[in-house]
This record gives sequence, C-alpha cells and structure tokens, in this order.
Amino acid sequence: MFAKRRVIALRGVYAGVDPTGSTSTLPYYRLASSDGALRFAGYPTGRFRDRQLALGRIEYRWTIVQRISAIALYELGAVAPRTSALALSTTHRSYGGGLRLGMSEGSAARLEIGKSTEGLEVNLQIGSDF
Amino acid sequence: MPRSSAVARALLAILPLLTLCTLSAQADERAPTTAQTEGAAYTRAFTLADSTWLDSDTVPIAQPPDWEPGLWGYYLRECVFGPFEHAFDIPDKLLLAGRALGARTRREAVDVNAFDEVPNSTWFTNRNHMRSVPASQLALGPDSTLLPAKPWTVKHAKHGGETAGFQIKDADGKKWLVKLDPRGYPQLSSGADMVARTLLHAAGYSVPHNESVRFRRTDLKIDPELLQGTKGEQFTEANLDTMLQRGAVFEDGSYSAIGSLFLSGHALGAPSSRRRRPGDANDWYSHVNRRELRGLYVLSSWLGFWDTKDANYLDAFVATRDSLGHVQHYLLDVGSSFGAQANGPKALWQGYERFIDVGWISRRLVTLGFAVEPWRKARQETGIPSVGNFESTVYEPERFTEWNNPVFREMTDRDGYWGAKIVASFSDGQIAAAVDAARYDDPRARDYLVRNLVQRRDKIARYWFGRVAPLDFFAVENGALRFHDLAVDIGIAGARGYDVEIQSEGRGAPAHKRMHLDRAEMPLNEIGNGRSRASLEVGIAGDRARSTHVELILRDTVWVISRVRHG
Repeated sequence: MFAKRRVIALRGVYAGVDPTGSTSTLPYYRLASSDGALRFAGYPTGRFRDRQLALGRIEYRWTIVQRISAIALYELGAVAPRTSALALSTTHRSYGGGLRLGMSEGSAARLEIGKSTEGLEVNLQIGSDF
Repeated sequence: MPRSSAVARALLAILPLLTLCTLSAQADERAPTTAQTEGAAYTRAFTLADSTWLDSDTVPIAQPPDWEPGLWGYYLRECVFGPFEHAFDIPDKLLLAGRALGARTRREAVDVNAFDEVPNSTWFTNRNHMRSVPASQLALGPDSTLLPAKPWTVKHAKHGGETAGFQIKDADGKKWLVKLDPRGYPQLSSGADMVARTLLHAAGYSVPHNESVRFRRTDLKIDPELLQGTKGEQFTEANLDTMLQRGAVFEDGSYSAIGSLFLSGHALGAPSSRRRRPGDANDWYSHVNRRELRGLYVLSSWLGFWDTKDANYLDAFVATRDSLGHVQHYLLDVGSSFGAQANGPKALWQGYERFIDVGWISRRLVTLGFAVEPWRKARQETGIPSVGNFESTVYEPERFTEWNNPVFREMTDRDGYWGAKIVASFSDGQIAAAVDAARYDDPRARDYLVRNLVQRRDKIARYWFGRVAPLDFFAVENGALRFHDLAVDIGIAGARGYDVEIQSEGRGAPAHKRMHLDRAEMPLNEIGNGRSRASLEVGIAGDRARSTHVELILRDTVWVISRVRHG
C-alpha cells in the first residue's frame, strides 16, 4: 500500500471433498478441517470440519523493524456439507493481530492472536506463507 | 483534585530525588579526578594532578593475559536486550524529567584535567584542537604512507568478520592484513577507512598504519606451508581465486583493498566498554567514564562511523624492558564510515536508527507504519560506488545512532562539547587533505566527501556550541583574561558580546558583580583590589548556551587560572 513496508494481503481458500462412485458417505478423517493452513484464526485448530470449507482473510502488514512486520487481520471462515450451503450468514468471524517475521521468499514465521465469539486463540506458525 | 494541584504534588514527590541527584553530581564534580571516585575496590597510588597534561598510564607492568569480550554477547547485550532494558528503566525516566528541569543527573567524565581537557595517555593524544596539524603531516596518518612491497606472500586466510582477505608478508618481510573491498565497490571500505583513520588520528586517537592498496593476482603467491597444509591450515590457489571473486576490481583488472600493517607489540584483544582490562594496573578508569571514549560519539557522528562496537578497538601490549611494558589502545576497523559497510554500501537506516530501536518500533507500530523515518527522507544514495550511501542534509548530529554503545550513553554536554571542539578544529583544507589520503580514482568521491564532511562539521559545531558556550582556551595575558569564542573563530557566528558574573573572595566580604564584555577579553582589575580568589561564569550575551565556569587564584601578584569547566 503506497510503499513496500505497508502491505494489504488478501487470502481466499476453498477446500472441498466429494464422494466418488456410488457411495454418498465420506470417512470423517477425509473431511475438510480447519487446521494447519486452513485454521480459523480465532478458533482452536480442527474446530470445524465438513465437506466444504471456505476461508477468506484480509490482512494489513506494516514493517516495524528489519524483517518483522505487525499484522492486523480480519477473517471469515465457513464449513458446510454442500457448496451451495456456504453462506455469509453462517461464517465464523475472527479478528486479531500479531507479528510476522519474513524469512525468505514465500516463507515466514508468524505469531498471531485471534479473537472470535469462542474466545482468544494464540497461534505460532513457521513455514510457507502468503 | 484539581489537575494543577495533582501536578504540583507529583513534582513535590520527585523533588527530593532530583535534589539528591543534583547534589550527588556536584559532589562528583568537587571530588579529585582520581580512580577513587569510582569506588573503593580500585585505587590509584597517586592522584591525577589537576593541571597535568599527561596521565601517566605507561607505568611498566607484566603482560596482562589475553582477554576480550565476546562479540555475540556484545550484540545481544547492547543491541537486543539493552534497548528494551533502557526503554523500561523507570528511574532513568524520572531522571530524564530531572534533566529537563536543569538537574545534573549524569556523572561527568573523570579523566579530565583542570582545564576540562583530556590529558595525553595511551588512549588519546591531544592533537589538532590544541595545535593544528599541517595538512601534509595529517595525510601521513600515524606515521607514513608506507605501502606493502610486492610481491606478497599469503600466510593465512582471514577468519572472522564480513570481509574477504588474508594475512601477507610483503617483500620487505613486514606483516599486513589485507581486506578486499566488496565486489562492485572499489575503494568503498578502503577509502572510508583511510579518510576516517586519518581524521581520527589527527583528532588524537591511536589507529593502525592502514593504506589503500591495489594489486594483481600475479602479485600474490601462497606460502608453501599454507599451500600444502603442513601446519594444519591449508589454502590453495583455488581457494585464493574463490576469495578474490568476492573482491572489488578496478577497470584495469587490479584488486582494491585496505592493507593494515600489523601493530607492534602483542595483541591482547579488544577492550570492554563495561570493564577495565584484567591485569592492567594502568587501566585506571571505568571506560564509560573516559571522556575520550564518550566524546568519540561526536566524531563518530561526524564520520558516520556507526560500527563502534568493542570488537573494533584493540589493546596491544608494548614491551619496554625486562619483559615489562604497557598497554596501548587502538581504534580499528573504521571502514564502516561515511556510506560504507563491510559488504557494500551501508543500509539506509544505519546511522539513523539502531538495530533494535524501541522508539522507532513503537512509533511505527502505533502509526500503522505511516511514520516516516529521517533516513527515508534523506537522499543517501550517491550513485558513487566508492562512497555508497552518505548525506548531510537530513543529518542531525545528536541523533546519529550506532550499536547502542554503553559509553556513548553516558555522554554529557561537556563530553559532547569536547568532541565538537575537536571536530570544529578541522579546517576545510585539512578535511580535503584527509580525503586525499584515500587516493580515490573517482573524482566525484573526493568532492562529495569533502563537501559533506564540511557540512556535517558545521552542523555539529552549531548544535553543540548552541548547547555549551564555546568559550575556551582562557589565558591571562597583560593584565586581562583572554579567551577564544570558537564559534566566531570558525566563522559560524559573528562578533558578539559576553556576560560575566564574578564572585570573588579576599579581604573583606565575598563580592558579587556582573559585567558585559564587548570582546573576548576581561580586564582583571574588574575583580577588584584585595581579592585572592575569583569564580567567573562567562556566557554569551543573549544566548541560551550554558556558560563557562572559570576559577582564578592570585599567586603573589599574578592571577592564575586554576580551573575551567564548560557548560
């Protein structure tokens, strides 16, 4: 945003699993789950699980020292049995902030605190990043 | 409770603290300038005479053990933890409020004589500000312009530090350390080192014999033992070629480097800014209380020498007789000055912001990154490979930053004034001579550096001489007290008047008198007949700069200056 040291980052993720063949059921462990890179910021890891998962995040990052940026984030996440059931009204909202250490192109360490209707969650993540 | 009442109560609450600080600082001032003032654990056999110009710290001692503070420990302590510790030091913040109200809450340097100057020692020798160094002599640096004679025999590869390089023995058998300029930037570090070491030496510091050198691959041969690795360390022709690929090359294909002649004596390691050298009985004072180290901040600010960590000093034991000797203190590796650092042009923030700068981190955090730092406004990128990133327009002398050196944190206005006085003593011609010592190939480099060093010098003089009245070099001549107004001498102020407050003792009751001087001279008969002692506060008329305190004693029938304190 006007300078490299101030960035607005957008992220949208969709994960869906559909049964193949004649079966209409899916094993629980194959369902899309809100963990790892799909974790919802203000919720415990794996809190949501279903056939369809969508996640949207807007993040404002601004450099505070060297490679370390502060982050302010707002996130919407939803799970549903069908794509058509993914609606804004059923999304789970999180907002929060944290610090991001850029390590190399496409990878970073980030420490986030997310707030949702279910409380506060702290998350430390190291690896590929958007 | 009304707001004004609350403020008054808060002030009343801290008043005793401020009074204590003031009294404590004044007590320090009255104490003799000896190591005893630093605590009973370390005592000196004799006192530094008030009027001495020689601090005898070359008393023969046995060689102290090799010791130096750890580099990474220094970085962690001073650059990472230090800034946070400092930011949350609440008592220090209270003292800050005290300072704003005029209290002296910092301890003054202890190694100054009666004239508020630093006597000569193994740390510092009074040079340019006492007696102008001729330009021709200044360019010689510590001794001469001796260059390493070719061919060179590579004896060891350089280990540690950012730069590539090697130790050599030249054709005359002298040992040198050769450090390559970073690839793409011939004369960047070596040029900066030459100019900085020349000015620092003329200022009074001990520096090694460094010279800008250029050489070709054919000038080098590797010592057979090193080549074969018979003594454990092996360095092959291929290793040398790989190393040279990291070095800067001139258009004619020769390499650009700085050659540093090995210092005489035994290298003991870097001194610590926080503690005295173990085993060196001549190391009288806590290093944080040495004025020449505190005042170095002002010279570093002038030169953009931001890499003033402990590791860039070196102590060498110089044997004199019967295996006894003394420790000599050197300032090394001054190549990270002006627009340079070891591996290329300096980063734009260096010199303007600390590695971890709590103040700027907080400002950026609170403003969501919209705070604009001075280094972003400064046009530092010169486009001159041998200069790098350097400017003087946005530069503010008092805001220059380095590795959060603990000695610099103790600097008082008096120390700053002392440093500024030295910086201001360099004429345009001397600065040009120092820059010429680098023998820059690119004529733009010479012109740019001279112009910017002159501008930075003038900014330093204006800043410090605006805080502390630059009234100096007092002398009794022909029945008058004469002095120099350094700001007038160097042309940053026009002729001006001075206000003097005289307090005198002698026959009869103490007397107090005020007078105005139209020039830098006060007839001593103004003190009055029958007086034997006088204290003068000499200030610049209509100026807020802190006045100069001068004490006079009547010896027989002659007035003698017994003490001068600036600011």
